[in-house]
Amino acid sequence: MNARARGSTEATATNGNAASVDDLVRRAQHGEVAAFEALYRTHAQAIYALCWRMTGDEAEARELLQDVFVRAWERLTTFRGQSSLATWLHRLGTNVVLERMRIGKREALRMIDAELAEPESPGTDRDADTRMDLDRALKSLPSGARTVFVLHDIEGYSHDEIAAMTGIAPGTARAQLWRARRALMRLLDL
Amino acid sequence: MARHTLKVALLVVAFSAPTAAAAQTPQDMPVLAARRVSPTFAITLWNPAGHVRLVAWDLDSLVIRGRVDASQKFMFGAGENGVKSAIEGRVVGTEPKPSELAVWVPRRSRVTVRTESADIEGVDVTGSFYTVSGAIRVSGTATSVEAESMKGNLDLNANVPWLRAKTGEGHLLLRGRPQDVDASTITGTLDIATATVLRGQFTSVSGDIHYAGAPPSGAILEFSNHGGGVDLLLPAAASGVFALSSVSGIIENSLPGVRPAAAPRAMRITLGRGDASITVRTFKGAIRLRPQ
Amino acid sequence: MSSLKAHLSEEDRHRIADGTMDEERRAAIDAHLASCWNCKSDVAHLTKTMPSLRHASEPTAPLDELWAEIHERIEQGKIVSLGKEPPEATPTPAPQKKRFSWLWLAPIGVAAGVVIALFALPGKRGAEDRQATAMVADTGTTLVSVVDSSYAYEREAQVLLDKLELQRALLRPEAAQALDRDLHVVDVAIAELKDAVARDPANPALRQLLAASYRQKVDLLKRASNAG
Repeated sequence: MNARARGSTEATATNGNAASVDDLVRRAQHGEVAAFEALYRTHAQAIYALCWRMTGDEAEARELLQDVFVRAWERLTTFRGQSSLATWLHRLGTNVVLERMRIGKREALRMIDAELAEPESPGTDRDADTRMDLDRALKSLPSGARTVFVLHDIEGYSHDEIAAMTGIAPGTARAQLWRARRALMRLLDL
Repeated sequence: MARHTLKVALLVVAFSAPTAAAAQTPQDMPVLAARRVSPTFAITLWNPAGHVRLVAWDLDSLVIRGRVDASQKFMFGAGENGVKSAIEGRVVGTEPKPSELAVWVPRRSRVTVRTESADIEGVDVTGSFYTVSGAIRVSGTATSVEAESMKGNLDLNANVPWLRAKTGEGHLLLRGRPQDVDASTITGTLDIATATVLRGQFTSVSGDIHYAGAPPSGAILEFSNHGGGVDLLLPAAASGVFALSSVSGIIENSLPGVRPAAAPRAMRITLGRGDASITVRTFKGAIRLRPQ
Repeated sequence: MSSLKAHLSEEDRHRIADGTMDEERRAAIDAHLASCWNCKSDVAHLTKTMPSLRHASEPTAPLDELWAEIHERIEQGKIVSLGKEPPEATPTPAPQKKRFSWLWLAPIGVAAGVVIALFALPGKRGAEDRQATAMVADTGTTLVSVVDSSYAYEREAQVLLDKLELQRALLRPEAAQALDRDLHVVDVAIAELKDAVARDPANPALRQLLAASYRQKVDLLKRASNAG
């Protein structure tokens, strides 16, 4: 996984020392809510960032963050420590977001058409001289392309992992990634 | 002419047969409610006795067909985001007579079904299914399934990422392609006849648990049983690290050519690349590894 | 080694910018870049720009507000909610016998009560606390974890049992019988496990089994409350 995405939470865990993280996990697995809250406070921002980037919607990201941690509470007893907790939460969060996207969207994950000059505008009038920031630019990408870009370039998953998680064929995922990068560069005047 | 008459007769018979059969199918039941709904709406359904069948379809509509006993009444209420429907007795306190419901829902909707003794069947439907003593059968593809019964049998044969199934003395059968599973019984038998579970918690108090198949790579499976046994039937290609422990139950390994590290009440076996993690704990139930 | 006469493909450009181009092909690519200004400038632009695409801002979530809702969902959902604070000196009322008039529970109640008394009876709490503390000194946090879990689960189960007591008249006989049978089986298992844990507190498998049995009990009680 991308060191950038996981490093901050891993570093915090390391600073808090691994033994205490293990202790919190063990206590939370035994049902101690206070211990689970401590884990939540360590990892929630990273998971929120993931949800926000994948959906492009703040309200939805908040709901998804709740869903992720409620599911984490339900499933914590199956966490065996073979990966770091941050990795486990991240994978769980990605699955929750993707499930919601499959349920909520009428169309499947939308892709950038090879013929499309630019992704759809976010809906606000844009002065030609105004430069969109990356977050707004991400939001304007079609959901499928945004998903692939976020998972690969920001969160650090491989194409094979992305294919397994999203059901998008690896070749399609690669092509969408390149188009997403080009689209973002155009939107950001880079 | 006789030949022509015979052909016509045969055609009549041919078309009559399906019609006759159709008279027995849900489509033949009268429509109780039909309504356009949003693709992700929620439906809550209550039918104490009889049968409830839910089927997902690719229309943004809800259709409920059914036969309601004369002593019962069909109730239906709809809001913006959801629908509630119930079969209630006309006279409070009387024993409910069986009613049959067949419900078609949009594929992305979420259903909550409760019954007392009515059986529940779901096809391609996502949601929660609860019955006191009826049977629950789920099949097809869903995004999540929760199935609970006090004593009924559960037959779950779905392609679903997340599945939770609980029953007391009923038989719980897992098939299909579930990935993340939490399944338990109190005294009933728990049979896992699928090898797609990546994260699984299988628990019983005194019912036996049977798992047949090769755990997928990376799977983490936990089996807990107090007094019932845990049987793992493993094919030759099975791969994983099996950590078995019992406080006072026997641990038997019948896998050919395998000599595990063993202590009096614990055994650890690595098969193949050891890329799945299987933990089995019992208090006094027997643990058995057998070749499939 | 083949030379590239046409412009580089989009795949090649991104692989170079990513640094994932395999060595074998790299030589041919380099040869092409040396002679194709168009591809060279585009690849350079990609390589320079891509790092900035990865530096999305870190949105800030209102953690306190969201935690309140998560906690509430955990409390109200189908999963066991265990109280925020660990068990205190304040005694938990032990006599479940007062609440249940079912005779068959008596032997189970006695067995469970003996074990619960080690941890929960009022008035004797101090002695048992000292005993528990002494054991903690020997086994580290193990027994404390067991005590925490026992208290928490017992508390949750008691809340559900109290609720069921009110609903009992509304339960159909079939549901009530199923509940009684299953509750008996689970309570026997819990009693056996508690005895075993008391004898061997450092055994992690026993703790896991006890936690599993408690979860079964709470799940059963929640299932039964849905039957009303």
